[in-house]
Amino acid sequence: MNCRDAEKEMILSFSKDLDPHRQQSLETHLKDCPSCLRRYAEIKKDLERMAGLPGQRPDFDWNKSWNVIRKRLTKNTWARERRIFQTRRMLQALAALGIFLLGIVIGRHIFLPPAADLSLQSHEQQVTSRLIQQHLEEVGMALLEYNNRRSLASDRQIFDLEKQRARFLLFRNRTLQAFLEKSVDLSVTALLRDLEILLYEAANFEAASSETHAFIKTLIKDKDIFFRIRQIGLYQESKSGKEAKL
Amino acid sequence: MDVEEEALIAAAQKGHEEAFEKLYIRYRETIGDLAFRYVGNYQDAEELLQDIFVKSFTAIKRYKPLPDARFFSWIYRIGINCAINFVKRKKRTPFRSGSEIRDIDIQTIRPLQPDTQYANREIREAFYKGLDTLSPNQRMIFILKNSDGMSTAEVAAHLKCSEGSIRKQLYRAVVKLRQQMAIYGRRES
Repeated sequence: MNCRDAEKEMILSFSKDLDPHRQQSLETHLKDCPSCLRRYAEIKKDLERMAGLPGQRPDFDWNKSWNVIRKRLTKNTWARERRIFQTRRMLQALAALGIFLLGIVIGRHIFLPPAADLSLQSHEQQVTSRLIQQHLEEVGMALLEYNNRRSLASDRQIFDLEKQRARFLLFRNRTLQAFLEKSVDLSVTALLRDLEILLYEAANFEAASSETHAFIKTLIKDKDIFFRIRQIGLYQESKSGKEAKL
Repeated sequence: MDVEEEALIAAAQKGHEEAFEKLYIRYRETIGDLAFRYVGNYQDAEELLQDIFVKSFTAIKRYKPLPDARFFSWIYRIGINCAINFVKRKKRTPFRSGSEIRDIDIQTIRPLQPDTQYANREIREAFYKGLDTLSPNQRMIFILKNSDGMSTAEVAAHLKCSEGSIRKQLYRAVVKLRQQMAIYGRRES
């Protein structure tokens, strides 16, 4: 053990925190080291002196202290009770407000008829949905007739009527396209664009041109028109159904 | 725990003021000693004593008697925590010399025994100045170990830390205190 370690061991020795082995080695060191022995005596003296330094406690005025304690306790209790009272009042007020609001909701539900959705946007959407659905149904029928026909109508009157119908459908297709210009529903606008090509051809082909007829049939097949019309038609149907429910 | 104390605690938990007073009379001396030893002056010790009892009586509803723990240990632990917090709050407790103590209320203070070596006012002043340089925890460890004569295990249990940590802090406290007292002694001479 060196002298530096010995100082630490001395303090622990006075506080009886040394195990017998360390105590023994400290004592051995002290026997061989007069400076540490002197230091040991100094520390002992200091600690003994410090142990008694707080001195005798003066007599407190116990009654005065008790009165202060009692006052503080009463004040604390009163403050706590006031806090509890305030919290309780707050909870009661919140409960009353909750019941009042719940009553309004239930009352509205029971006594008032369901409010009609009169917003302009919703109304426009419904009308557009229905128009698109109707338009797609009619275009689908017309294209189905073109597709199933082996050759062009030989009767001039029927031929003209079909062309007229194609022109009308083309006009409506363009109107809808213009209306849906800002629409985010890209599948509908894409279909209307493809339909425009087909309807344009149908509205303008000549009686003798069987090539145009074949071209329309190929386009119907390539663009998968019937499947898309059915798909979008169903989608529009479900959308308008939902809106009607709302 | 004796039967009377048990009954007193039960009554205090129900809020009976008389029970509070009896418990106060029972423990005021011990808690007063702790407070005075820790802060070293009459005024602060009295304030600390009041703090300890107010805190104990406010928390008494949460006290649950355990077979291996006495009520005294519980209240003493509150006292220790209060004392540590008290010094933290005050940051630096100004030491009041013996003359100041006498100035406060000469009638309430017992006269110091003339033959005791601890009556030396200057050493005492140096000692408390040294204590002020310690952390509140180190200060409490030193007081409990050196002045109260508690074992390391008891101090560790009261302060809820390991015995090793108590030993380390005690060593640091003693070294610091001796340094402070030596500085003061040199300055005085």
